[in-house]
Amino acid sequence: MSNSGLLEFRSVSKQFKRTSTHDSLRDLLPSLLGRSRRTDAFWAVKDVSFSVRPGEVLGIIGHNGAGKSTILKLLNRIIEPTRGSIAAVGRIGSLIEVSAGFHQDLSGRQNVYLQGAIMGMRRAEIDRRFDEIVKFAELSEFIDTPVKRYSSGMNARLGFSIAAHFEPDVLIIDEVLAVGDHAFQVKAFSRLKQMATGGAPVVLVSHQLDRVAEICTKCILLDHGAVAHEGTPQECIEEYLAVRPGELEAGAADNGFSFGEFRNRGAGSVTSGDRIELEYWGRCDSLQPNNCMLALRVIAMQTGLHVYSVINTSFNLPFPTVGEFHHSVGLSMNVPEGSYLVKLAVWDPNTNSDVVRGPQLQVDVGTPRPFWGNAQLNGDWKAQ
Amino acid sequence: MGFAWALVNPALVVMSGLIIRFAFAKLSGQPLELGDASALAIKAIPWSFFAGAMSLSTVSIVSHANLIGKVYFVRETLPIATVLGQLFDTSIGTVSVAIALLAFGFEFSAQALWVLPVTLFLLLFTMGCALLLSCANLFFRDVKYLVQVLISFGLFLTPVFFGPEALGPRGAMAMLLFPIATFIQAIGLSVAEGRSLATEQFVNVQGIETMVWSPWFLVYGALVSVCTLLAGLVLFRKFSARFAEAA
Repeated sequence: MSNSGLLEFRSVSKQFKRTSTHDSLRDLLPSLLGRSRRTDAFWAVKDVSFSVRPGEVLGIIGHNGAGKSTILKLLNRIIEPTRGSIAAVGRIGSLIEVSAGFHQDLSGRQNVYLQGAIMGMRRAEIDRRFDEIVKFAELSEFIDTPVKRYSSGMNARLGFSIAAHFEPDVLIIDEVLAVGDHAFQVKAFSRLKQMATGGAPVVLVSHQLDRVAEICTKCILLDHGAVAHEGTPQECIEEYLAVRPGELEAGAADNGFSFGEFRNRGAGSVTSGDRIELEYWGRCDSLQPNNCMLALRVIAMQTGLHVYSVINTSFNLPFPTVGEFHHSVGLSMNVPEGSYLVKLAVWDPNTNSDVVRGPQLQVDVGTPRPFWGNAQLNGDWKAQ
Repeated sequence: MGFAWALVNPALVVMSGLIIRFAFAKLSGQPLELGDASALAIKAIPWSFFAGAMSLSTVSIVSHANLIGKVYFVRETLPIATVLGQLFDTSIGTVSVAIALLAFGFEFSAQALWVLPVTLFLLLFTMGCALLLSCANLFFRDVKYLVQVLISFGLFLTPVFFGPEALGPRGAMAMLLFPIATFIQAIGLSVAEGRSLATEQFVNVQGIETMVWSPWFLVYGALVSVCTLLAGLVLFRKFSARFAEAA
């Protein structure tokens, strides 16, 4: 992989029109004669700047609709920015829609050449890598079968394999990691990691926060098309998890309920399987709607998954009445190694939204006995 | 089988042309000559090339909308490749017609070499039209219907079935200024009739000398083809930035 690539976004903005423009002459003629159309424009990407140099891996995270896909399309030159400019030095390889160029009637072999050509590979280059591509895709037996007879998994495997054997100067990766069965995914991810660390500038767009944390050297968090945070993957992931859409309602701070200090009685980092004791204070100035509940959530920071969510009623803990309150909560951290975020909130089950967003606390969990899996079962293994 | 398909369209054009010629011959009381049939076969080739290229290339971008929205590649590839594919089909048709004509004892004159520059201009013109129409059809999806109608009707605006002299002196001029007609007339005169394109050509229609060719038409055809191609390339490039959004 060459080290000459460079990717730079300079104040890039992209506007889309929400109303459909005419796509037929039949519709165009009346509108030319009649009144002007209502245009409803919105900015899918607003003033985004970043640069990725050789050796850097930029992660882009954000909620649905944050502008990630638009940025991918801009990076791939599929669409052009409304404002700003994009500089891309070198050949861009993208692991996006890896089997988009397949022709269903052609064989796997022919499609390797077709897709390779679409990506910008030369014939000699494909010849050289052909065996490797087929072997990686595990399709040696079926390479002369028309692609229309392939299963969707075979399709995706071949597509990924072609793209993964391309040697770009700049690499763009979408969430193509969900390709094939588990064994292939593991293989695909290690190949991807190898490509990402090969020295070319890389952009990775993903919802899989643990992957972002693992591969990326820097990260940006997008929110409604604009950069909400820029920094290390860890910072961005924390920021991303701190604010989830719908959790913070407008004016939530003014409804007469506030949380005070939230602290860990013990140390901030514990061993997997240990129990932690947390406590918090708060104040209720006016009665909340009677169905509101206190919610406590534990979120794995690497994946963004809620590993544990509970409500006060399950513990016979009454919802605070007017005045100050002080609660404590104990948790057994029977979870794998990693950082976890404990968050408090006042939750309205009717609207499934947080009425008051409470404080959050980070707990780092380590383990002297590494294990694979989702839960700490406190294994006790010995000879008798 | 694939080769046979390349012959179907020109064969049908020749057949329908023969029926029309036969009807003309009946009306005027003159017999149908072998020369008529050979001229028809020769002129049917450029027409089928153009008509086929237009109907396929107009939809070439829309039918690959999926690819356009997902992968970047030089978008010009789609209409240009369609035209070149049609050129390949046409070359098969040309070889077949040439063999058939030789078998019937038709003699090609040296003037037939005019077909080379004329074909080049026809190709450039077709590519220009393909770029313009494929782009237009993406933004206005009903352009393809318009193209189909024009292709059906266009056969009567070009000298495939009858020479321009049939429309009278002024009609002949008007017909020859229709760009695709210029190329078809040039191929018809030089290949089928062995006449030179370097001099003016006349046909005597009921005692009136009607001009059916002037060297200026060659210049005109060349200019039109180059201008169409340039316009096609420029406009296509200009709008291709918006293809992914419209597709």
